[in-house]
Amino acid sequence: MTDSSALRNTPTVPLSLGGLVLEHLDCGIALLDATGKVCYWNKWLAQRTRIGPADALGRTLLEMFPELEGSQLSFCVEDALQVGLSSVLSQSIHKSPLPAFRLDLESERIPQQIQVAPILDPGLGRICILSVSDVSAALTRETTLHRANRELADKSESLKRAQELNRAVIEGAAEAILVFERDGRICDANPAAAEVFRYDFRTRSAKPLWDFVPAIREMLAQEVGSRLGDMREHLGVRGDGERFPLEMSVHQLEITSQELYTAIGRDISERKQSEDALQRSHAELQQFAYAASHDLQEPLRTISGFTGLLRKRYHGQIDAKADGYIDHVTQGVERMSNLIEALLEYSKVGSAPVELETVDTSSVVREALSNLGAALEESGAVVTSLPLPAVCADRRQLVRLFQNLIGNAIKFRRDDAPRIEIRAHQGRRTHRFEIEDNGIGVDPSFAERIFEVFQRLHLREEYPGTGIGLSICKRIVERHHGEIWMTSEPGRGSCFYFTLPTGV
Amino acid sequence: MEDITTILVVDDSLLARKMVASFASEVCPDAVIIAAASGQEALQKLEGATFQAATIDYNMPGMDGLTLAEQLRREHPHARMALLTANIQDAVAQRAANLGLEFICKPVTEESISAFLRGKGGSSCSS
Amino acid sequence: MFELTAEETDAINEVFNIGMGRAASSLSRLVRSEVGLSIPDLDFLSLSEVQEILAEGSDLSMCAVHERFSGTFGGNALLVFPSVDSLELVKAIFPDTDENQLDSLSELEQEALLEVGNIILNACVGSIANLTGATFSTEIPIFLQGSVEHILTRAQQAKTDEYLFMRMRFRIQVRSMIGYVAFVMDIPSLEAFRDCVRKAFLTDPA
Repeated sequence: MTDSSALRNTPTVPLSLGGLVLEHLDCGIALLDATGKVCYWNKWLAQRTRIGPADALGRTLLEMFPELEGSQLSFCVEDALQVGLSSVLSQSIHKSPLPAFRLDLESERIPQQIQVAPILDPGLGRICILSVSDVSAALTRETTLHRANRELADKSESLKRAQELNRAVIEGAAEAILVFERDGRICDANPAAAEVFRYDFRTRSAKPLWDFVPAIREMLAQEVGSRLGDMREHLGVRGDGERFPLEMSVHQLEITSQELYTAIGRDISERKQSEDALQRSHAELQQFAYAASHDLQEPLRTISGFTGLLRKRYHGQIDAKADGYIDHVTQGVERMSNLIEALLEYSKVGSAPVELETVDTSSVVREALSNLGAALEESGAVVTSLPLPAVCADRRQLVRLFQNLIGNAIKFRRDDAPRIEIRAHQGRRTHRFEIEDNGIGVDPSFAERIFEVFQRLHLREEYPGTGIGLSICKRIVERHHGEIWMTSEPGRGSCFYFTLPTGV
Repeated sequence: MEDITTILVVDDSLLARKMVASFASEVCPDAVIIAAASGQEALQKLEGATFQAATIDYNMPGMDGLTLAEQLRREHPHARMALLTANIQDAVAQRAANLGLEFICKPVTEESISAFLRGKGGSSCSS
Repeated sequence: MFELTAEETDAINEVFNIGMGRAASSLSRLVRSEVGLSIPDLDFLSLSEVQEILAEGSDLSMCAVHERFSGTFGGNALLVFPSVDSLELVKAIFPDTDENQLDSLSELEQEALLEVGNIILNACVGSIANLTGATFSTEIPIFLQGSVEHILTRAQQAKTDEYLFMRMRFRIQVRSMIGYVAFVMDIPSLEAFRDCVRKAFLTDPA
């Protein structure tokens, strides 16, 4: 190896100021003389090709880099020197033609763009300048760009799929879905909406949403945001002017670019009609039950009166058999009278208006206990009650409710004195009341049936009663929009629960 | 070379035809030269006549040189034919070789035409 | 308007024909497959006529490679592609290119096109030099992109410049694209060019 620094300052081309600049450029510069021999080789090239200027000067590119034999770079140099043509070599087509390596990663060839240009020098004839630039940065940019492009393409593809899915869901939905702007202008509507409103939203000139559901305009004006989402009943107007009931909820779409709303709903005319019919038949039935039991009472009273007379006058005067018959008739009449009374009460509970007021439950319990008077004393029952809340209810019905449940607990007692505990818990929306006894209990499989009318689980002889008491309880609770249920363990006792809404 | 009595020269360029013809008549002064500007014209002018040597331009409007050579080869299995082109591509070279064609590089020179007619191979062509 | 005789036109056609043949063989080496090139058709046109031809059917942007040459006579050589065709060319050169993602050329792709254009233009200039004995020196080519007018006026130096205009079709494998080569020269240069052609081919050798 020759000492390169010794020869460094003796290139064929004198190092002028321009030469110094070339020496320090951030690209490779070589000058080839008319015969293709290197007459200048800058520092950039020296460092990256690992061939110092001393070794480069006076040699052709092919002598230094035999791999260039037959390469485009050789052709370009030939063209420049012989014909005077300039050329460019791009990295994309010719991968790193010159064996020039990165300074930081020594095994890696520098990606290059090479320019070959002829220069006509008065002294040297046609020489050629080779400039080599490092295009790593462009390559990195391009890779990044391509990756970003691909990711973008992937994303937009999956977005497209999601959109198609959304579209299909919306198109296929049974609910009418309309998208509209704050001013009521309808942007989109699905086929179900077209069917419900009998209007072709997609091709016909736009009417505002208010023309179809007038109430929504007011709703938007009053309560933007919070309570829009609730499903409500509205009056709908079809394209042909027909009015119909509909159920609809309005939501503000959570997108930033635009203030958009959706209205989702359905035609409820059919449901309305059947609801009305049901209500009518229910009322009729109620009316019938009341009338029947009321009208039955009148002849029963006659039977009861004359049976009493019969008993008073003729008991012990005919014979033992006749006495037995009279007793049976009397008992039957009494039972029937009880039943009819219970039925009447049951139908009254169902039909009489519920008169809501704030009621102190503790006083209600006291009243119920005092109504139960004799039975309570006779059984020796101990009723304990924790402090009970005030509720919003029909006071008379509430008394009846407690009276029936406490009475029930006394009736189905075991041999020892009944202990009854009354408690209340406040929940989020309701108060839950509990009435727990230590009575005979029931098999849990009957827990639901016992609330049905005339359901008896025991022989009349064992536990007298009409079998309507718990049905009345159920009716009262339901009319207060509460729920009633029970749990029980046969032989240990039962616990009845019911809920009443808190507040007004 | 003495056996060459008819030479076919096909080229769409008048200049090229003139140059080939003038070089050819120096090598074979007694030969008849049939010149044509296209493949179709060449086939018409031949009308069943024979030739011993042909130079055919590759790049011509209408029928290209290879197609013409293919047709001529059927009738003249022994004639010496050369494809004239500046367009030496591997695929073209392969098809030409299959037809037993030689290559003459454009622009033609007296040397390249003479070498072909004397049977000294005209297929060396540096690009 | 500059005029040529039929013989001169034929000679110039042949010069370019040979040049394009060279270009095709260089290109086929680059893309490793056969490159088909149509016979170029040659015309002398004014700027507005060239614009009309190039803008024909589209207002699309164009890509061009522009190379100045000087020597026995001087001028500007242009290779112009409609942008769509330039994308096709890039796809033909880089078969790995993702079909969907390309709608513009990246830096490196522009450079690659620059090289392709350079090869074609050099083949033309080189062929003129070889066949007529004229001597030239070309400058490093540059890549241009924009409207037809923008590209053409960049290459035109004087209003009186004429365009020696050549249209050709490339075919690389299944892809077919169209490109235009234009030599923009002033009248003295064209006359010098014609003289060279006459001297080289049309003087009676006898």
